[in-house]
Amino acid sequence: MRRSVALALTAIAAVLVALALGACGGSDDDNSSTGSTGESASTGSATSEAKSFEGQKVTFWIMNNGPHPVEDTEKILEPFEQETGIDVDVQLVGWDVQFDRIRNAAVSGEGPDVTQAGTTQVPFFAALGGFEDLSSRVEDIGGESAYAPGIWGTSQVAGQDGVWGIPWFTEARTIYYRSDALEEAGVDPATAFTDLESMRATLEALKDVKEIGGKKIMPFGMPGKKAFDLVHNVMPFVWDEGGQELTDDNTKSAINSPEAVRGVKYIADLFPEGLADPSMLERDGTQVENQFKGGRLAVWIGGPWVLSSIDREDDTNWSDAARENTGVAPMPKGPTGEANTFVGGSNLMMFKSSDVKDAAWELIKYLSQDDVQTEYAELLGMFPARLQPQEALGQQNEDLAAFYEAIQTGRSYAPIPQWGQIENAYKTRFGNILDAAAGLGGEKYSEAVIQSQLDEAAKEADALLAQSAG
Amino acid sequence: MASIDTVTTSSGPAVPPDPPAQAGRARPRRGHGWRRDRFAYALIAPAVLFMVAIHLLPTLGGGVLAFKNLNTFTFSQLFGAPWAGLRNFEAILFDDANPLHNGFLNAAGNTAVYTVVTVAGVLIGGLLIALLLNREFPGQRIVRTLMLAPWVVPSFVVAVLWGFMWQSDVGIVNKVLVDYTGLLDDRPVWLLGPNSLWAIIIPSIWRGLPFCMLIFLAGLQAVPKELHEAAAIDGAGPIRRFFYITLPLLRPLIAVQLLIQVIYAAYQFTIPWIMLGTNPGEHADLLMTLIVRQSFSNNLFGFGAAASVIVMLAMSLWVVVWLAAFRRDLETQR
Amino acid sequence: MTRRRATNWGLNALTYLVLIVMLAPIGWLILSSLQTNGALSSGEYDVFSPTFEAFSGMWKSVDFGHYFANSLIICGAAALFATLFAASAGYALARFRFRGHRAYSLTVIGTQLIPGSLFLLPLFIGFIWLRQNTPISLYDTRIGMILVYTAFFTPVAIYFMRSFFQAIPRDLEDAAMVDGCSRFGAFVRIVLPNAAPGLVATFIYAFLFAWDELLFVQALTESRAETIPIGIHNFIAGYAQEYAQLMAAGVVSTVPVIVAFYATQRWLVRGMTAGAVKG
Repeated sequence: MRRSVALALTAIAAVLVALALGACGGSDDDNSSTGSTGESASTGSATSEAKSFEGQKVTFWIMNNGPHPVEDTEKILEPFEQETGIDVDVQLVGWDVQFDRIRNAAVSGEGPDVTQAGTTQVPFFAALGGFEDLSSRVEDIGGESAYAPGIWGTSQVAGQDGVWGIPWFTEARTIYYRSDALEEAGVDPATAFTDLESMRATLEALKDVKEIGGKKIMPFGMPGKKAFDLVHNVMPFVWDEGGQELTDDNTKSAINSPEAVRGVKYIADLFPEGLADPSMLERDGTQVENQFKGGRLAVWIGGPWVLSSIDREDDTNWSDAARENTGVAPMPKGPTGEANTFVGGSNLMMFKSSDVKDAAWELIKYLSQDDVQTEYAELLGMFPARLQPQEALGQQNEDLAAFYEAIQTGRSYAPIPQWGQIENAYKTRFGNILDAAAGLGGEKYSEAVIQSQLDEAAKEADALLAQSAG
Repeated sequence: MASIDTVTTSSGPAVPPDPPAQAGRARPRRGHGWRRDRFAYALIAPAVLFMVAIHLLPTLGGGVLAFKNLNTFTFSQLFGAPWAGLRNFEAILFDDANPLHNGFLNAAGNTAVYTVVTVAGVLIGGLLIALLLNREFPGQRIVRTLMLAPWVVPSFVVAVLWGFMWQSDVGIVNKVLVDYTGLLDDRPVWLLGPNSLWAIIIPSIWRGLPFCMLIFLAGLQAVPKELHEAAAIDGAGPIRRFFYITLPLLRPLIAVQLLIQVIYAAYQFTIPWIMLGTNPGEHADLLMTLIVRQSFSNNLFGFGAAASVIVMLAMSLWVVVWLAAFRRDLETQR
Repeated sequence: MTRRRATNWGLNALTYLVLIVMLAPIGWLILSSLQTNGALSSGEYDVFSPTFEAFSGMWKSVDFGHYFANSLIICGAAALFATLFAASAGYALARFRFRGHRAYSLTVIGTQLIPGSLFLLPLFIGFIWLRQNTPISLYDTRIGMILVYTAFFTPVAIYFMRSFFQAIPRDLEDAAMVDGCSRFGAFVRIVLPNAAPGLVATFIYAFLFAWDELLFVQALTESRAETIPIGIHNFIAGYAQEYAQLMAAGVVSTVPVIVAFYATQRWLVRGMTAGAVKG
């Protein structure tokens, strides 16, 4: 009995040792998290320039851009792969982990050749030192003049020369609403969201529309601190009231100014007044998005990709009522008369550790071509980052025009390396405020709570800004 | 009184051992022969090598990092980052203006509450269930075996499952509390606010109970029946018998479980991280989630290392306190 | 007489009630994995017509097979090496009062006091340094994780194994050595086979701990060597929130350890309760 146990042990041991050794013997490569990679068929009509890239492999990290990110991207890249013979390995890295991954890759030297990164993250990554300065190559794609100034700014880092990320696609947030809910509430969509007061009045009216088609519906919903983009949702209201995230010279936090407090108060007050659904705070951004699509919210703030998913049959999150009755409107104006929104998007960065830099640049070049920009952006429901295709798309219809306008007037954050951490600090504090407002925070909600949380946020941000290399 | 062998509970630190000596018989002293020792050294060599290379050296490295200014700007220098002296420690422990200080104190408070409640729950619950199972009843073997199941479920599955169960609108907990039994009128929110600490405590108790129960059950079964019978004859009721016979005999076991469960709870990471996200909120942020978040998401590695050192010192203090309180129990086990 | 009967009956009922409450969450996990996404997000379960679509879909929407394989290989190999080292060191501690045995014991226990966050980053830095200065690449590799896990779980395994050795009477080895066997020979040929169930139990014990581990794999892997605790998050991290598949993945992740546990339950329990029973 015991001997056979020992024998069995030995056998298992042998198998496992073999597996372990086999595992470290180079089979790590074939465990990419994607399915098929592009074909590297070379057509006879390859130009002599493309021939030099034949068979090279470029690893490309992307994030969750749409419901089928990897498939969509591979589809776009097919012509590129055929023409140049480059094999692009598209790998998906979720938004929740991409920050750590990219940082680790930059520092460890082990990573892809090209990666997508959020526009607000470029300065941080560039400061790490693992990325290639693309300023010498950028003329190939038209240089600075091919992009709107605000968007070009996302490729730069304050205090550091060079071009670090090539803008890929752009998005801006607007108001989404259910036209059928507005109709029932007796609100005219044309004036429902012109400014902060009318938006509030609209939500008040929507409070009486408790359900549509037998489904419970709440006026407004937004995610809480679990959402990676919480700050993007709250800042527009701060900006509307004239507040800022940092002082103009980016040396101190300005998030606890009276204007900023007013802005945060506007959105937080929606909770105790029953205008916003508290259970949404438990969820992250995508989950709340799906709640809107599923018909549980009448008003929501989101990006252009949601609009284009209406037509995608394979997106099953949409309820029929929601799919047919969704409209978009620009963000409301503040007392200053300006309508503010967050403009984001993604850029492409090249790793210094890449040994196929020229091929990687070919990939970036290809993705920056006007027609490819348009095609990819349309597929995802985003906007191209380049000026001309962006303009062209904005002229297509009314809804897209609303987004285009938002992009032109939208704002982003200071291009400093510490921004990612500051955003994290703000996110925590905004989350706490919203929790308190919804009655979940353990402290009774009042304006004093907002002020104290924002004071803490400012303290944290100042400490982060004071970080130095010394 | 029956002698209980050296207590070893292997899910963590155990009592420093001596090889069991045969009671009574005088053995010829085998002696510390050099050849014997060499053989022993050879035996422990591989384990020692790994321990030093992957555990101890990096820990020293971590200790060094606690004194360095390792952040976003200096990260690429790794160990060459500039020296920061005691600045990190000062910031964490004393600097009121520093947000890291508040975060640390907050997490320490949460962790303390979490630890006390979870350990109490595990120990008391484990003991109670062990008492319950220490009888003859139909299906006892199956029940004892099945009762261990929660411990085998991996922590990350526990976190995912309970995170799902705690959802305020569609989660089963609220459904039972509000819809099915009507115990409560409002649907409490578990994953946010002060309740979020309970949201992690309860699954922790659920998962940790069985291990404790197992140990206590074995201990209970080791109590000689004659002791209880004799006491019963003398007129002692079950409660008195429990407090005067059972509990003292179980004390060494309880002591060891107390030690390791406290350490395990204080270092808890997986359950809040997976259930509540990288920032569990100011009510459920534990020390380990705070440290990992500040280190990896905010790149404040110097802070993370310093905070880890402080936590380790605190745990060492706990061990010292524990030794002082329970040394007697260790001694009686020869 | 009837009163005792009633108490007994009451206690039995209580026991089963407690069991049901303890097992209820697991039952809920299984039930949830057999629902559709729609049912899960609305909370209306369809108890009587279960569907297995979550179990089939989970392998496609997330590369779960990759994570599962990684977990099996990394945890299995690490548990194996940990057991081997632990057998060796545990035997030494069980049998020999060698010079420094106290210090060694204390150090082994002491390793459990070190928070993972303290040596994570230096390990990461160490891996990077190796890659930059030697041909050895450990970051985000299975072998790197195996090494880390082996080192991390050996101490736990040592104490577990030691109790099994203590239960084997010395006379066996003594007799063998009298017959001319070397110390090492006695160890390998007499003691180990006798301790074989203990070896298996130690292996499973270490495997259980490794299967559970999140902190290290989160920091030291990127894409190639990730294990289930990391991968399981992907079901709800993306565009589509696959809750049913998440539950199914939970079930699938639990099955190996439940099977391993219950298959070796007798010896595992013996090891875990070693100190509680009379010597």
